[in-house]
Amino acid sequence: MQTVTLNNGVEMPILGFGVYQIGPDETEAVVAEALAVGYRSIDTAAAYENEEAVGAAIAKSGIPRDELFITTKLWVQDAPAERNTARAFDASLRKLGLDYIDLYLIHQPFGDYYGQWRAMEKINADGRARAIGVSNLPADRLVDLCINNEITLPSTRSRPIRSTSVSTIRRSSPPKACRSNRGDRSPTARTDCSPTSYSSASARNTANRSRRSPSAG
Amino acid sequence: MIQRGVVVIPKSANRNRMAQNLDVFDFALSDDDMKQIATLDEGKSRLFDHQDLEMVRWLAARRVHG
Repeated sequence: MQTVTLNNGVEMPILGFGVYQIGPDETEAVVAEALAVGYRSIDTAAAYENEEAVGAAIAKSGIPRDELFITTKLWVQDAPAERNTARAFDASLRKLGLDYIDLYLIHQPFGDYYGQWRAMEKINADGRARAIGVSNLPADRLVDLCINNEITLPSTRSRPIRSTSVSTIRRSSPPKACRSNRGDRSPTARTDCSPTSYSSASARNTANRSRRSPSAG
Repeated sequence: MIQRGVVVIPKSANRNRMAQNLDVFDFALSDDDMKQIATLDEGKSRLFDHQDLEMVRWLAARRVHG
């Protein structure tokens, strides 16, 4: 599986499996199928209310933990968010049946997400989340978050896009504006902060034309 | 997206479509195809609109309890 390198050196599979809008009753079976088909990166969230089912599928799969990349997300926390975030992270670990998370994300930029980020930086420093990032932050909010926190830039920033099934896209480093303000880090230059919207039908048609007429390179 | 180095997380509850979504590493799109696809960018999410204040109100007020 092709990987991307996050700005802290963690390798992340470029293609994962999402469980948004899969109900808790069917999630375990669906994730078991995904793992059997060959997915090794699973994306869930506390707000999807299916972390336990994801954890059950992982446990029964027999796949070694270090071959999996598990992402979950922190939902909106009341202020002060530091203690609430620690509690929410522990709950996610317990439900998933894991000792660590590969990628932990702020799910939405609401509530005390600055306090959430500070708590997540501690979780990352403790090694219980290998990487931390943000989801659904517009570029201006991301730049402000970077400027007003001292330790770590988000490793990833994700955006939902819509195709016939729900997908998310994840960029492996913060926008250039963040890095220029901090003056360091992030080996990969990425200047595109904008969310994208995507037509899967158009992409499939384009891909099918490419398959019939192989292109050079 | 993968050709652009962007991580993607497709969801499907259908085993065949799961497998199809995973089977994307044996072809590449041409530069022209990539440029054409790039024009589809509407600059906003189709999933939900953060400028939809009723949606924001609902999302921001929701709490998930562990």
